[in-house]
Amino acid sequence: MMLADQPIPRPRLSLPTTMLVVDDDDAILRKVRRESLRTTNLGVLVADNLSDAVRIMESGIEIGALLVDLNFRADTQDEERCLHTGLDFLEYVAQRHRAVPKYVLSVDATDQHSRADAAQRGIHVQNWFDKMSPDSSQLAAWVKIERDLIKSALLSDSTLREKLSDGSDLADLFRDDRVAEQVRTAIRYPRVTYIQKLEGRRAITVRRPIEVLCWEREGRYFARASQIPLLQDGESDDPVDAIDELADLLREEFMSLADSSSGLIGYAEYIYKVLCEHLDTPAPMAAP
Amino acid sequence: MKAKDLQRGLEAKLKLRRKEEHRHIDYCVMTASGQIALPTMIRVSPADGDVPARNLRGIATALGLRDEELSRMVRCHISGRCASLAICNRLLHFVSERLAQQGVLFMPGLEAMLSSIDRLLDELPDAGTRAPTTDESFLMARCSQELTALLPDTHVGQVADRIHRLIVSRADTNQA
Repeated sequence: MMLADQPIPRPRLSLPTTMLVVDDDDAILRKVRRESLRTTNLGVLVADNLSDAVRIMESGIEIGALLVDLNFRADTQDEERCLHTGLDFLEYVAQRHRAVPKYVLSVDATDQHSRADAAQRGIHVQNWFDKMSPDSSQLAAWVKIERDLIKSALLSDSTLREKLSDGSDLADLFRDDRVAEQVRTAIRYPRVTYIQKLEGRRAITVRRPIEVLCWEREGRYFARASQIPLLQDGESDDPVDAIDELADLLREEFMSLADSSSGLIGYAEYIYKVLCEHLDTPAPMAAP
Repeated sequence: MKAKDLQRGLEAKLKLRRKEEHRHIDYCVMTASGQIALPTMIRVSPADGDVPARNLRGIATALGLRDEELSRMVRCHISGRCASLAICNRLLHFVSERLAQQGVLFMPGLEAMLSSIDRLLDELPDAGTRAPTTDESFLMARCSQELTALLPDTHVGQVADRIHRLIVSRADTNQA
């Protein structure tokens, strides 16, 4: 654990770095979260049903990319908005958040009918990723998504555009996947991700995802809740573990303060109030 | 360092409240009225045996001390009063850094922390009449130097000045 005085490195590029993954399979969500936190700088939000996915899209959190499954079980669909499939959800989003890049991760990704359906609805899917692809030489979906976001940011960067205005062919370079890959692996900007669950013996509901800044310094990863100024950060040699440590810290801090909430003053009282804005009071311990 | 020695130092010198968990012990800062002024900031893990170096470093940093200063505090070369002043110094730098990052959004947090620090300073153990040890002199000189950078700050300058005066007055008394 690290004390939270150290300044966070400033981002060198302004990127919309959070990816929302929507899938009704928890195992897939866990895998995508774990792997994308380990191999990219993307932040990750997950939704295991279409209603939650809509709620996150409309929460005001800036989403940089969507990675969505096509098929959803009946109990994970959104009847109220008539969203039954991933394409329904993408169409819904396209009408309200047109600029968000959309990706599909599905066992039906190669199905021409799905692709035709998307085109017919006017949904521009940037890339279709096959969940069952046996080709291990292919880059993972999240790596390609991050690379696309970097390419897009480089192309829209005004300073770079000025440099390109002299007619040089650098623009072509920035459209090159190999260049984007070099940039992707070279840049280490602070990642913005979210904590959505605080797991433990006493259940605590996270009302609103907790924004977390995660960065790397000298081979160690640090995680800080940007809106909950705790005295400590999560720290580990693995980004997922650093975020999990922060989640653990938040949970324990909240339970400890909740147990003594009538005897808090000053900063402890302030932190408890801030935590209460994000979390529901823990359920009392069950009698042994 | 043995966990038991560290625990004794934290409880006897700094009057931290102990909260035993399954495999570790958490400590938080209490006031005389029994109210908690700061969320938990120290965790000793494991509760028995030797404390790992990384845990020691985290605890030392939490208290605003260097590793060596923490072990000297546990060995009674640094008083509870000096260690408390070092904590206040660290907390002030923490909020100053946060204010720089978050701007006015952090003002309620800043005010809450300043009130906690004021409370800690109000309850500072007496300086006593003995001359400061060499370790105390070095620690207070370092804190004083760090606080000087915060003195011109419109938000934290006043509290920095209060801590600074408490450090300097002790040094003056003993020099006289």
